[in-house]
Amino acid sequence: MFNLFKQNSSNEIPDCWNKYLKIFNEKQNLNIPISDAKFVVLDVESNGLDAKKDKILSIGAVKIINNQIDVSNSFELFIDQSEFNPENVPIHGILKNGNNIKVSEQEALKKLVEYLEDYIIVGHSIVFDISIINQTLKRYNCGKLLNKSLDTINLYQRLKGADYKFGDSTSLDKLSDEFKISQSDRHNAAGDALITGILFLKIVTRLKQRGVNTLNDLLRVKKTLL
Amino acid sequence: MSNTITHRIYDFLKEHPPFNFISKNELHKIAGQVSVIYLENGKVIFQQGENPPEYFYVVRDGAVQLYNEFKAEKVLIDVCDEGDIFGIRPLVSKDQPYTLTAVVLEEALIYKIPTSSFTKIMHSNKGVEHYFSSSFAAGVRNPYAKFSKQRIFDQEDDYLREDFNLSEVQTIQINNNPVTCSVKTKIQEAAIIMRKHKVGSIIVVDERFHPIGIITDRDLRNKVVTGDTCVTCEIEDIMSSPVITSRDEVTAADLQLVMIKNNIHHICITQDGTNKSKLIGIVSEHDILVLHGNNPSVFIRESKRAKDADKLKQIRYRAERLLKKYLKQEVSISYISRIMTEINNTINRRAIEIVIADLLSKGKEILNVKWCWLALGSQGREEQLLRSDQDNALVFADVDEQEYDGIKEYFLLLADGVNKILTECGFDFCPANVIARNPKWCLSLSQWKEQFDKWIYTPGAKEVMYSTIFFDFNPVYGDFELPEKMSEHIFSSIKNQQSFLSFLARNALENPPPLSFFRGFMVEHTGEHKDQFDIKARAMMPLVDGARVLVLAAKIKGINSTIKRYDKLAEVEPENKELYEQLSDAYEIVMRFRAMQGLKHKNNGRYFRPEELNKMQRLMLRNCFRPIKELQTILTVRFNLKMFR
Repeated sequence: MFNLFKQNSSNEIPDCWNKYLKIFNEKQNLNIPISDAKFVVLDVESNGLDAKKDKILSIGAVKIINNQIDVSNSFELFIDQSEFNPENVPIHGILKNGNNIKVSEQEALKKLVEYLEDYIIVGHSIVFDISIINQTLKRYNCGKLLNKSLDTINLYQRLKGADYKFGDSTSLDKLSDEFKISQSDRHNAAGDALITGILFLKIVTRLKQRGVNTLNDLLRVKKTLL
Repeated sequence: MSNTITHRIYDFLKEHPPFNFISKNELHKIAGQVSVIYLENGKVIFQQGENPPEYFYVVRDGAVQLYNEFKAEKVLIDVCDEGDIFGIRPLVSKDQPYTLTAVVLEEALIYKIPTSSFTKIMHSNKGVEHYFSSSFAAGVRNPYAKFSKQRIFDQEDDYLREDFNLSEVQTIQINNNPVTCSVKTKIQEAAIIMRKHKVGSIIVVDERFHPIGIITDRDLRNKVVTGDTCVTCEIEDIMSSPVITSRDEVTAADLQLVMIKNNIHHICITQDGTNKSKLIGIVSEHDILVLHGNNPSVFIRESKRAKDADKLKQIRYRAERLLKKYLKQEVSISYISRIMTEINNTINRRAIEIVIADLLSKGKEILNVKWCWLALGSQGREEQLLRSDQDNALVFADVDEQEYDGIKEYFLLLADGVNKILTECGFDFCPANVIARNPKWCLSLSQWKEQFDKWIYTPGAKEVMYSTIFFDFNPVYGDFELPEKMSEHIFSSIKNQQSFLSFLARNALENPPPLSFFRGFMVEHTGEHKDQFDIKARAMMPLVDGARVLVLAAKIKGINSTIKRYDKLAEVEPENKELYEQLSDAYEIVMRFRAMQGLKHKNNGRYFRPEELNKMQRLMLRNCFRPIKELQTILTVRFNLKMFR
């Protein structure tokens, strides 16, 4: 009954997307303490690294509100694949007929934008995650995500400052080790989102000690580096 | 909600008490309600006096310190690390403010768990309930008995599992020289053969040596002595036939099953396992019992019969296996120590008998003087589980001066022999050389009285050290009136010299227990960390020494074991009943730990690293420290010890 995305059949814009856009009508106040800001830490697993052509296999996310991650408010979806590329399965551990309950792509996007609202999106190499989501949205006549975003890699480089040498690994594995975050089974969207969330909390705490206090300060970190 | 994330939280929680007691489904629900927070160093999580929120905490990573603040003085109470829960006040009593302050020591990832999800489980799940009552209250009462399914000491102790069932699966040593006779043997002849070989059964074989029947003592009793059959009849008339047979290479457990099933006590071992092949041996129920080693009376009987040190040594080694099994099964420590003491004492007694006989064979007759062999230290307190040092002494009655030298010489010879046998059995000489062959500790009754008075009236560090060893003497062999007189003398001297007790009490304070454990370390009250725990000095000696001085002060005679001393104190001092019961339990726990560690490392178990313990073990041990600390406070007040400091 929620088949709001009528795939490619018309140019109708789905309701949930309109609802999503409405949230952004109001201007976001960025001059707030970081602890008052709301973040969604996101990780997308896809069947390839080409955002234009590849498909989302699963999406995992946690929300950080008040410096706290509530497990009950976490997000995890597996998407039923019409095009299935068996070569990529071993990396991600998602089988087409695995045990996880799968939803259609439309359903996943609807649930995602409802979850995202206007939260600040945080992720490790978040540009890729956002672009593959945007590509998918486009197929259902929606525009690009409007959320502000933060990349934990950029935040890390900012934290390191001069200590960061170009070419140093910034993989999630490496940073997890450096920040002593225990990782069980990696390469699972929700699991990586949780690790990235903890990494974000740790980096932000350290940045706060250097005077990065407001959401604006934090977002600027990104701009100065880009 | 994400299953993956819930599952990760679940995976972590399930490894740590009390969550390990919770069923998978319930714990999954709890994991789904967890909130994850990250806090930097120095961050105050909650303040003493604050009203608690609707959740409690689990440390996921990092460390949190708990303080008690009193008149601006911060007292460190505990350090929590990975897997520890804290801030459980809202779970235990509603609407009560926090009694401690929690501060992040090392940046910490912390799980918040709503109390609502937990209160129900707390009251319906025995393990969880017990965990909370034991970690929250100072008490250590009922330390492990309630964990019916989950044994605390078991979790990592696979080394015990290895040989736990050894006897059950071991191929049994069969007696392969069975005593046999033919069918035509007269009953009386058979009985004579049995007597000659000192056996309780005889196998009847045919000309091919195939077993066809068996006669046991029981048959002779029931069928012959009763007059039913005459002694000149042939054996055929009374034998049980056919016999139950088995192959070689079967386990003791198999054989025992066959015995139980057929209600028999002997099994014939034949070449192919049937009674149509050659007899090669016989196994009796007694052989299996001995092999099982689960029968202390077998050890005691065997030690009484042992002919030399070698045999005693074997028995003592087998007793160690029994000890392992008991510890594994969490048999009460008082029972275990009673059994082990009895075995040790029997070995000790047998060693004395062997030496006396040996001296006699060399023409040195036992003298007509009353004397007594005394066990000291842990054996004297009847709490020597592992073979630690031997501490012993000898007392003999007062004799005329001209006789003295000859008598002393004899007893020194005797003691020398006994000390050597005990060493061979694995009881090492103690570094202080407190053994009976040392002329200083082989004395007449009056000399002992003098010696005790010297310690009591002029106590110094050495005197107090000796008192702690010698005051726990226990008679093992000989005349038990002599040690009784020694006891009486000690009590009357102490009555005149109360300050001696203060010295003893002060000695009991020498080694305060540590505060807690944190990761692989012990945490001292000063906040300092040490990586090795000396369970003897830091937990056992304070308990032993405390019990001794309190018992002496209360004039309680004749109780040597530390556990029994505290139980008695609980009886005579009802106002401190609870503390004494806790101390009794605490001693039981530390004895058990020491024995387990000793068996694991094949040493005396005195030192170990806290990292070898699992969370629950550490918690239990930590809980023992609190009553010890309280005991030391009582001693300080009662014996006015502030002035010494």
